[in-house]
Amino acid sequence: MASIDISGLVKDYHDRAGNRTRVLDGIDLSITGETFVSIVGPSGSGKTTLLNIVSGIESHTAGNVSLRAGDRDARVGYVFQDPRLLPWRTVDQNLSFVQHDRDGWAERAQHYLDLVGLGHLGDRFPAQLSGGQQQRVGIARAFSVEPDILLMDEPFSHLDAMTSRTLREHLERIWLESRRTVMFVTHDVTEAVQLSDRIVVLAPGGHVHETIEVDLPRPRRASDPAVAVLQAEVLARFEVLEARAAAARAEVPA
Amino acid sequence: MTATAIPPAPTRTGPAPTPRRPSRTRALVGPALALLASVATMLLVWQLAVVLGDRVPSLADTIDRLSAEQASGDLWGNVAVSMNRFVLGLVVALVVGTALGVLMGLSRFAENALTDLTMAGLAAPAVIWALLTTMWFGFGWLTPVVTVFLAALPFVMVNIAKAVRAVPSDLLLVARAFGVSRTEVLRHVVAPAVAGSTVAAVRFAIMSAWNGLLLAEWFGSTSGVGWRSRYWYDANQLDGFLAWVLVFIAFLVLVDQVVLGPVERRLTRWRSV
Amino acid sequence: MSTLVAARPSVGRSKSRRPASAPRWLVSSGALVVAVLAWGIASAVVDDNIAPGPLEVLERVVDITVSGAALDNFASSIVKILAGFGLAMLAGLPIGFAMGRSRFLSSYFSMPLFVLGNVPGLTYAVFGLVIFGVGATGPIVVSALVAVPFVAINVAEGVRSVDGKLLRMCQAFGRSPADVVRHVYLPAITAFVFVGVRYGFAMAWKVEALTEVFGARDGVGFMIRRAYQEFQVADMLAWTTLFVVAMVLIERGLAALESRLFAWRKDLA
Ligand SMILES: Nc1ncnc2c1ncn2[C@@H]1O[C@H](COP(=O)(O)OP(=O)(O)OP(=O)(O)O)[C@@H](O)[C@H]1O
Ligand SMILES: [Mg+2]
Repeated sequence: MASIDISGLVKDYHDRAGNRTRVLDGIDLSITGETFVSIVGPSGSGKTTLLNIVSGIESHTAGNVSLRAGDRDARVGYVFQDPRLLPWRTVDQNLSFVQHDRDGWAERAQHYLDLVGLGHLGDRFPAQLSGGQQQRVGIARAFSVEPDILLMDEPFSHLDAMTSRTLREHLERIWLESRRTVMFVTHDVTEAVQLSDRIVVLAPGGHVHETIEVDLPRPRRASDPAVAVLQAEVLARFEVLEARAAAARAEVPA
Repeated sequence: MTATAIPPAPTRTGPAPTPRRPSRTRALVGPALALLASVATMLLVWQLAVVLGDRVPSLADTIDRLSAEQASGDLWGNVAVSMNRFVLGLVVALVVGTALGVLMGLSRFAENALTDLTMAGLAAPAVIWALLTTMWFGFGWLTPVVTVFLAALPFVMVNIAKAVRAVPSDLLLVARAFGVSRTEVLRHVVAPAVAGSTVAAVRFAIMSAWNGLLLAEWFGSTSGVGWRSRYWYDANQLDGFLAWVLVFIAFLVLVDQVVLGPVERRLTRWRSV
Repeated sequence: MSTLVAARPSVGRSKSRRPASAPRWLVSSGALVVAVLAWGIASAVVDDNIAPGPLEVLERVVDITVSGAALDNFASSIVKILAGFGLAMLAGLPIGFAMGRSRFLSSYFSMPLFVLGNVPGLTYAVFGLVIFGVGATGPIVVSALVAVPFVAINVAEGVRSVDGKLLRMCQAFGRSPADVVRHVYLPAITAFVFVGVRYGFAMAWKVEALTEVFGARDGVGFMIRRAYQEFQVADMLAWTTLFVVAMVLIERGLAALESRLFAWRKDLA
């Protein structure tokens, strides 16, 4: 069983003049087992930074991050905001490129491409796919390494409403089929409610504002009244936070 | 890639090393220092060539020769003669090339008719024009001027045609729909679109024409910078030849970095923002 | 430095999609016929052996080709260019890589590369002859020097074009440096280097031929020079015609190869 343990995580950026900006300020977060956790928060609250630190792309200033799967280090899959495919490799080759484990990767790749509905496009180059198709390849790629932990950074935010709704359904279906520990960053509170078991709200300044458990049956539908009620409630709380963030921003220059 | 590829080690504990902070002064000093180091290296390589290859004249000898040329009036006299020929041929090439290029950009027929001929012109080495014009016109002013014209013409045509094709027809329609005046359209729609390729047209034309001028004066002239460099070569005085090579290079650096570079940066500013 | 990279005119691949009134080949071959006719009339009017007509030149082209002289001399020139390009790759790859990775080295190399790329061919030809004599070494070294800036600058562009986001993707998926070089850097660089070679080739060949004009034992430039000294204008024009045709064919071949090799590039697809 996989787990993410974050304690006292601090991240500072330094600009050219040597000024320090604290982006994450003492994050404590513990995720265990096949849990789908969404990270929401106003723009600039440090969501991407948190995810990058967890994935090992960025270093941190203080605190501990540990990703474990049983008694070994956990394997990570990442779905980025943009597809980030190698333009000079076909879809199949892109999936092959990230495999840790060469055994049976072709079947795995085919399986997940089928799940995102692209099983027949393995020979195409990324430039020959639509934006939504590229993003689906990105999702299949992340699943195809059979990660213990799956990280996603606003994977649908570049897409139109229709496409992103379809892809959300794809995602929930794949996740239900092969459950993993997920950290999912989003701006979209309704999306968070629909997908997650838990919602972590980051506040500007980079600390955890509150944690909301979502205990609704799956698969969920946006039209389900229980989902809608919870969405409205979380949205209301989130709006208060955003208003406060906006007020804080307005005060700073004064 | 093998099956033993190691998974990432996601356990990272404790503070990471503080990131390196680049200072502001370093960002400014860097390029100047690099240029200095670069010039120093070039001089060093030259000196090395002087020592190793026994026929290469030293920097001091070359500079001496150059100042002697200046003192005797040969430097500016020949530069002036060559510039006359160069500018004349280049201006005619720019005018004719622009007319033909615009035609190629606007009309499919003209494009099809002229593309193969332009490609042949681009592929032909300038030396052939220099040799032919020498045979045709002898040692007169026509030899270098016609060579300059022929060397520059295809580059002007190709790049001007490209510039014309770059004019965004959809934006022209938008402008018309909003009733924007003709001069405004020229200034805000056409000029920015054609600027890049137009500068390229001038730049390639100058480079190619300069190359052609030197060859034409080398083979078929009794005055000018190309002739003067041949004079030293025939006299087996390589320092004199090299002194003139410095002049050739100085001319190109001047044109590229001092004239065309800033113009290009100004005209294409919008691309980088 | 833009003289050496993408700003070069892209010859032969016009992309406009306006409806054609007459077939392309008809118009372009018609224009060629008109040009040749004009040449024929001009030479008939001048009526001097310094202005041979197209038929006379064609005859020489056929003679040169049938006798095997064309093949011998073109092969000799091309072998020298290839050797020169080999040297240029050896020098240009590391220089370009360094330039792509370091701002300092990029400024450091930009001036020498500008000079190498823009020095008039005459200079190369004379120094090739003076330093290396009439052998093959002069043309080889000269074409290497001409080609180095094309290779180096395009390698640097290729390295710079590698998207930081892709590198972070590789890191997130735990790819080894060897994998990153093989699957990210090399493909990115290859496309750019190919463009560099394509544009550098024409340039290098012209300067190489010029070097042969100044001094050589064989090669296209040498044949042109010999015809010039013997006052055989028809021969000069025949060699030039062959040179131009070979150059255009090679250029087209490389362009075709490029669009096959780099099918992943959207602008070529
Ligand atoms: N390289 C950097 N140097 C300095 N500051 C940075 C850097 N990267 C991010 N930041 C700052 O860190 C803060 C958090 O950025 P981050 O990208 O994590 O926000 P986010 O929550 O993902 O925002 P969004 O929802 O807009 O994507 C922002 O204020 C941003 O300006
Ligand atoms: Mg973000």
